[in-house]
Amino acid sequence: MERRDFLKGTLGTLYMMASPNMALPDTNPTEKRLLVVLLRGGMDGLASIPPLGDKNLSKIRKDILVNGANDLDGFFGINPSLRFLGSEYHKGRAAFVHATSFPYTGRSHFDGQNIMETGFEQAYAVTSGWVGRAMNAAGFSSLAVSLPIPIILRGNDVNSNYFPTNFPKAGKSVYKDVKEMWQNDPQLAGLLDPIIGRRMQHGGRGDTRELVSFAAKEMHKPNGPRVGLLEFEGFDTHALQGNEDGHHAEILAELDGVLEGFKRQMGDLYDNTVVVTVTEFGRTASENGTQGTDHGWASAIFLAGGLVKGKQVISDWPGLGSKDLYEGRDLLMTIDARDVYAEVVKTVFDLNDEDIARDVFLGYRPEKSLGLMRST
Amino acid sequence: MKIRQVSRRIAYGFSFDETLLDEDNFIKNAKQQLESLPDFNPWQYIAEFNDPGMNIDSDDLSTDLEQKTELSLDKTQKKDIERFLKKTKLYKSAIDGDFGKGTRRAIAAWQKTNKFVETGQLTHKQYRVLLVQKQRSEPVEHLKLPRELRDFSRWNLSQADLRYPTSVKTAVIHRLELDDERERLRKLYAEGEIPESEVNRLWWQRFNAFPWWRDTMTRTLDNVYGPTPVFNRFWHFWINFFAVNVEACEGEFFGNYYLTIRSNMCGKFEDLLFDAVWHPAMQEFLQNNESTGPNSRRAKHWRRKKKNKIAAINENLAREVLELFTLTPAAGYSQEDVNGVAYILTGWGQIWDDDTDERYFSIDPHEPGNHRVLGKTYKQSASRKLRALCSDLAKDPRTASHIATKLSKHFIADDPPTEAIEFIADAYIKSKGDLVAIHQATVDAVLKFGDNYAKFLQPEIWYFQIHRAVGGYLPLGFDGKTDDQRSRQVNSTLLELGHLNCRTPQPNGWSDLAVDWLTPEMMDRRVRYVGQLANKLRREKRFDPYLYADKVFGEGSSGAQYVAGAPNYKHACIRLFCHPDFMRA
Repeated sequence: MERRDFLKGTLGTLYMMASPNMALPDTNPTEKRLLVVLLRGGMDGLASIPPLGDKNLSKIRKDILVNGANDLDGFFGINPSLRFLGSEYHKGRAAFVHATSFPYTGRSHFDGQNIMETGFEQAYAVTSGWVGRAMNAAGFSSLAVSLPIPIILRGNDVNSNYFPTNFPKAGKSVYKDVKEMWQNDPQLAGLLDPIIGRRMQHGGRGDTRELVSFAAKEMHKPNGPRVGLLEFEGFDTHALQGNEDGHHAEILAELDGVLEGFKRQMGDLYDNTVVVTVTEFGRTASENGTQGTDHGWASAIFLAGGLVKGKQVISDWPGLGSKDLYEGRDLLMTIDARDVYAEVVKTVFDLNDEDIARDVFLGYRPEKSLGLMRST
Repeated sequence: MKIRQVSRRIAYGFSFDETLLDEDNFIKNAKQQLESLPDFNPWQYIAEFNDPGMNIDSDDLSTDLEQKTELSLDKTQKKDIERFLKKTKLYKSAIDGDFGKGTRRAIAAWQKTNKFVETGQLTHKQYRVLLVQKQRSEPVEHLKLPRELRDFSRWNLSQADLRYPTSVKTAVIHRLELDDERERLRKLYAEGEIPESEVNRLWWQRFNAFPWWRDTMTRTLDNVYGPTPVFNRFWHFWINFFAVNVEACEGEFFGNYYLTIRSNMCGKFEDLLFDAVWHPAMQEFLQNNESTGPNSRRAKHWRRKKKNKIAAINENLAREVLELFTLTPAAGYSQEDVNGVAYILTGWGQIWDDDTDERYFSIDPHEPGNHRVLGKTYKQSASRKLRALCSDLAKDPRTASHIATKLSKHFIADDPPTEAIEFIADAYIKSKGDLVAIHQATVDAVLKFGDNYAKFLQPEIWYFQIHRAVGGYLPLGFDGKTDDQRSRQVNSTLLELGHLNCRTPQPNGWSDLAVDWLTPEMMDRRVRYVGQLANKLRREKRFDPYLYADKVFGEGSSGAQYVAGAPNYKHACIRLFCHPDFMRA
């Protein structure tokens, strides 16, 4: 057992090849930009933004207890792997929301991810995504980019995707011919248009940092995309999650580095940008039998960018005592994640509460403002 | 549905020179394929491979035995051979690169152990057999793969030792060897012998690239050349149903795991379920092998030794057994049910334990006592509970409905009619989960409820259909170092097309829905791929896209006319294989 633990743990980097997908909806030029980061697998909020002030934390976690977390506000700390986000927090350009989730307690990845992307309370009930619908409501046509187009961006008329390939591009006459052949097909018509018009030629396998800097460059263009979408996998840390080192810390560090690179590429535009994370659920409060955590409920949301009213951790902390936990095991949701995302899309897309209830969260009307955005 | 479209829906289509069966015979043949387990020996098709660029050696061992002419080797190659023979204790003299009497004797001895005629002189083929053995015996950091081993297209695959794990035991041994090797390389790194970058590179060179390549390749060959494409299409369905991902499960397990699923396809679903769940590949993928019962012997041992370890379950596999493999969340099971399954699952997948049964169950981490799932208490002995649970879950009508829904979405329509699902579920229930009956009912359901061109084909299926259509022309290169080399390999081609089976993003497998595949980037790649292939086909002058369009779309059909109007050969191929009616079936 132990030898294996060592091997798997130390080999983390070998498995980090998971290439995130990226999607860039193309819109009219406006000033505000949004980068949505999907953290698939269920991100552990208690390991990324540990509630240091809760004395129960060190009782229920041992191997995976994060040591050396940096203080945020006297109660919450931040995983040392999130170096950039931590420093942005203190500069007033990053904030966190804790004990938050979608109101879904079923603990299934697939139902959970469907809900986090569709933004609807029941899984598989709608086929479009809340970001896609928000863009639609704001009157933007979209160009989405990635291998499969994530559900969260669906809901716009025109979609496109981008991911580097090593296949040589076909000739102009070929594309013209295929375009004509597909023009009357309900599913294929117009699908190649964004490819035909695109000049970029990227080889390679899609290194995350390369992709995000590409995203930032595109978002800079006058007619460039207004929303970028990045996917991270590997948060389903059932085993050997690690603490301040190890698997979970490594993905957080990767994410942190990617966000730092994104900020650098965005330059001044970063002042008019929101970066926000989305995950399907948090994880069990207690450690499981394989130095990991199982599927839980509430987690944390990271927000960064110049539009964010930083240096605050918004939370109505439910506690980690066994009676405080949902079904005695999961961090309770005390803030509906939709309240957070509603504030983000209202700011970035200039939408009002009516738009949110009607188009974005399909009947759900956020009750209170959390004050996460700077007034613009 | 038209029979040529049915053959593209439930199989891999047909080649340009294949005679299409009429409906009755086609269905009869399809059902026959599903009745008994066909042989799986894909290497046999390599010799039939017909691509002058590939230089496949087709002469077999017997002709080689008579071949006396010695291969000419340079001094370095001779030294390498001497080193290998010395290592295997057949040769005792100096490594001088000079084939004297001692070396000849050693070669003869090696020939004897390998059942070649003892001539003391290496033929071309024997040399390659020796290289394969050498590759396996040497520390991988000293490994300088000879050119012909790097490029397997020049290699007679039927003779290469591809470590094909037909038994689970062999697969596990390979898996453990792989761990030892990785540990050895890490130690070398720790001692400053090799840089960190080399650890991964050398390890991958020896292990990971190999099984992916092998497992994709074998399936590819059998799909494109083999006589049981209908059976293989259902195989494709089940390996996706019980998906494992190479990023979380060592590639060494894949071959055996896929074959295990295959070998269960003419039996009961409950046996398939059981064999997929206990298989070390699934155990490793969903980490159940590390789950520990809180009251197990292992837990007590930890407590006695005051080890700072939490003995608890990992519910990952347990949840998916209920959610993805059987009942689905609609069944409304509780967290207690998930825990019950997780307790039953503790103890399985213990490949590191010397003391297990033949299915790698060990009592050590198993949670003792009776466990409850969905109101039923499992009182069997520790290693028998999982079998009983699989039986019960397989008997549940909600499982029948789930399997029928998945089959319908895969074979009939993205949004299949309820009648189709009920038709297949009915066969499931009546036959008590007999997979032959279920598969045959699916064939009937496709005919009964399917529409022509209603299903958008996943990239892998589309790709195999193209290669079956043109009669091969598969990129069979070994994983190359440059982009150009990579593009000549099935694995990397499928990766670029967005559907390399072993890289399924999540445990629920690849999507059956068109909406998940219809994106500009993925469509662009199909166009690019056919463009590349068309250049190759044009040089060969064997495949006629105009005639094939008549065959696949029907003579005088709009599709056939459209291909006929193409300005040149390349455009004709693209109009054919990227035609909306070819991308659907």
